[in-house]
Amino acid sequence: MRILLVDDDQPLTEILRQSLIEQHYAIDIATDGEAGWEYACVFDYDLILLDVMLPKLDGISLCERLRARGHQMPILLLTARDTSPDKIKGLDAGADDYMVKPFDLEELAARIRALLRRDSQALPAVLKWGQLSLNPSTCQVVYGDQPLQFTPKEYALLKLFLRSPNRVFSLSAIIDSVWSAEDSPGEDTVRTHIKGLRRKLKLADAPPDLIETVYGLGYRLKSHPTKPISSNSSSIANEQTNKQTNKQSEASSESMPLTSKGASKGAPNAGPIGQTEVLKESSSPISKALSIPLTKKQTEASTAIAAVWQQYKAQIISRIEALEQAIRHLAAGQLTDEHQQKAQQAVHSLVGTLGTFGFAEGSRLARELENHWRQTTPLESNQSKLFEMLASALRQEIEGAPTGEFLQPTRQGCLRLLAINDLTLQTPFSDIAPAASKIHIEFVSSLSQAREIMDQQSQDAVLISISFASTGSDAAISPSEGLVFIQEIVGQTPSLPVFAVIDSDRLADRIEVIRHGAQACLPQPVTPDQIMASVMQALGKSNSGAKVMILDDDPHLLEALQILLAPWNFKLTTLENSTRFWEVLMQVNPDLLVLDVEMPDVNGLELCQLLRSDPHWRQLPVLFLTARVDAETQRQVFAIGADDYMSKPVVAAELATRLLNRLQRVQSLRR
Amino acid sequence: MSTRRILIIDDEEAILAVAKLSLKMVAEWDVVTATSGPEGVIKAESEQPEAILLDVMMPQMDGISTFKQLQANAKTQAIPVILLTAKAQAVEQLQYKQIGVTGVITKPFNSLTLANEMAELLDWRL
Repeated sequence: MRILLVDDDQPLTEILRQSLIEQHYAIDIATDGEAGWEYACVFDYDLILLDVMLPKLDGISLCERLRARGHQMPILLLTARDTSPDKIKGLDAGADDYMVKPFDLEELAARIRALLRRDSQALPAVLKWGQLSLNPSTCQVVYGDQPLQFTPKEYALLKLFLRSPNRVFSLSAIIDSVWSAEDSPGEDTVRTHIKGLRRKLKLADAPPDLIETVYGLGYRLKSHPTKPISSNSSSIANEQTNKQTNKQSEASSESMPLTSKGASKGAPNAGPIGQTEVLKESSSPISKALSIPLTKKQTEASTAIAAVWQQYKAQIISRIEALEQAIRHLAAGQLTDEHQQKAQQAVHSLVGTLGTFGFAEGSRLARELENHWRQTTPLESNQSKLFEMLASALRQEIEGAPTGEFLQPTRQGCLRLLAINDLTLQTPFSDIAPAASKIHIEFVSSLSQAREIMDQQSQDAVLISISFASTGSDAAISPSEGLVFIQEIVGQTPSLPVFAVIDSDRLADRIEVIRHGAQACLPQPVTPDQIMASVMQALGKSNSGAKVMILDDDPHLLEALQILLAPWNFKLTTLENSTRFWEVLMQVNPDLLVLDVEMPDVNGLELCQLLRSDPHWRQLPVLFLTARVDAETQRQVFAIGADDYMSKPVVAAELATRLLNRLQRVQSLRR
Repeated sequence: MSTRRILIIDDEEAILAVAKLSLKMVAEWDVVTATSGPEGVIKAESEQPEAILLDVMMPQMDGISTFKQLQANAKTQAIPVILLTAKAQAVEQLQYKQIGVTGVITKPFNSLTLANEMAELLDWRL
């Protein structure tokens, strides 16, 4: 976590620096408003502590300026003035919180933690991954009940990963987040710290690969563990069921919005997102968009339905019994057609009734069972273990009163996206706000579940993660399975847009995916925003692609960018010859310009300066793409008024994100 | 405005009970029920509901046959019908639309918003 402190009171900044460093934050200090502005433009801060009375540029104006430029990090104002008008002015300028000097350091620390939590879409107070928990307020890390000791940097690293599950951090992103500008280390140092962190995790019997290496990209938190520690026996069937139940309950927490209780019921070890975290997720945009508060009448109806349940409970249980009987016959190898048919009818009816009573999870379990029983291949006796588990989970589900969880209704005008084996959108803290209110996402973990859902409900778009790097041992979908599936569903519904997220950069792999009928191929890592942008684009729900113009003298790079950026549907104009720059610029009238710094005929920085002095192009967002990584170039780039900066080699997903962010900010400013 | 009357036809009594309760409480509609297609056709004629919620999967006479009978009867052919179905494949939905049903709601439905969904399909104000 990196914090910028803008304050000219030196004794105070010294105390604050000490205190914040003790809490493992990386701190940069600016002593006047202009310097604060420059820092904030060059580095990504997680939070800004801002004094109101500052030389050169006062804190309120700086705050306004930051907000106007689209900076969204939390800002906490520090001031000596304790009057309401001052506070109101500060908050109206876009500050998130306010503290009056002299203040209590502990209180400041707590407020900082609260703001940082808010910034991460309601992160829980304690960060968890399986049995590992990190408490930011006490800086304590515990695995199971064993406390772990880390160095401050290891601690900061662990916190960084836990706060952003599924995000891949490049080494430079890690340095930016964990180290301050003045003690920025070399990449080897970061690797050493990660090694240290892994070693200590291993010593505590925690999974050392908790921090995964993503080859060529960086590091990330390992995603979705199944049960972190399985108690004793773990037959294959057992594990499978646990996995499925966990996945199901996670999925249900996304798609069953009308409740706040029991989201993880039936799955006490629900993967990396412990129960509290799932519940706290309510402020994430997607659940917010889907959480329609119940009206008074609906609440009353819900209570009445729970009462009616008592009348039908015995009848429902008798169906589960019929199912259990069939499972016993199956285990004994004595399953007759009659038994099987009876069980099939029982589960079919359970799907409908349980869902109607508000046992969403029960309904899902029944659906899973129904899917198995409906299989065309004869059931094998060794499948009975899995069925037993499911049936017993089903029994557990209906033991109590209805949970009041209803499956997401088929809303008219609501688009349906089926996400298969996808972890990107499923990340609970992901911000997919723009699309969320219009899209209902259903998560499934296997192709068979996907087929089943598609049998029951037509989809507007399908997202599938295919692993080219898979060893075949895990739950990943292999290219052969995935491509056949794509071909199959596109064959059935040619208009159905299918998006494939793949973990391969090879052009041949992408072509293969597209050849099988996918609409677009999104290479990992990809953010939820990027996925949603593609989906919305394909469904014609977003504005036509933004016009992006790229000027670079390297034809190979331009060609590569055309291919790399294809999934994001920008209207791309690439230009190699800088002498035609103005002519093409006028013609295209782009929404965003990407410039190289060094080109044969012209210097990109000078071009940008010219644009900034031209009334017509002054507002055009400019992003620099350059091989130069020195601080001086960076400084120059921002000094002449560029909006963003990225060093080569280009990571497509990162570039796309930066472009999208920039365009989004421009749009919000226009509004 | 007089209370709207709805007929629900479903062979599953538990579902009838919940749907009836929910529509009554949430939308204050008057709900009559039938547990089979033939019973539904009779009640549609005698009760003259303003809309029918009809399950597709029923023993004896399924929802589609029931719908066809309702259409063939001058006294019931104008009543809008919403199908309740577990299978709402795009192709099937289109077929249902073509034979003249007003809309489709998938099972299991959300009991608490069932009235809203129906109102939306029927273009009614709740």
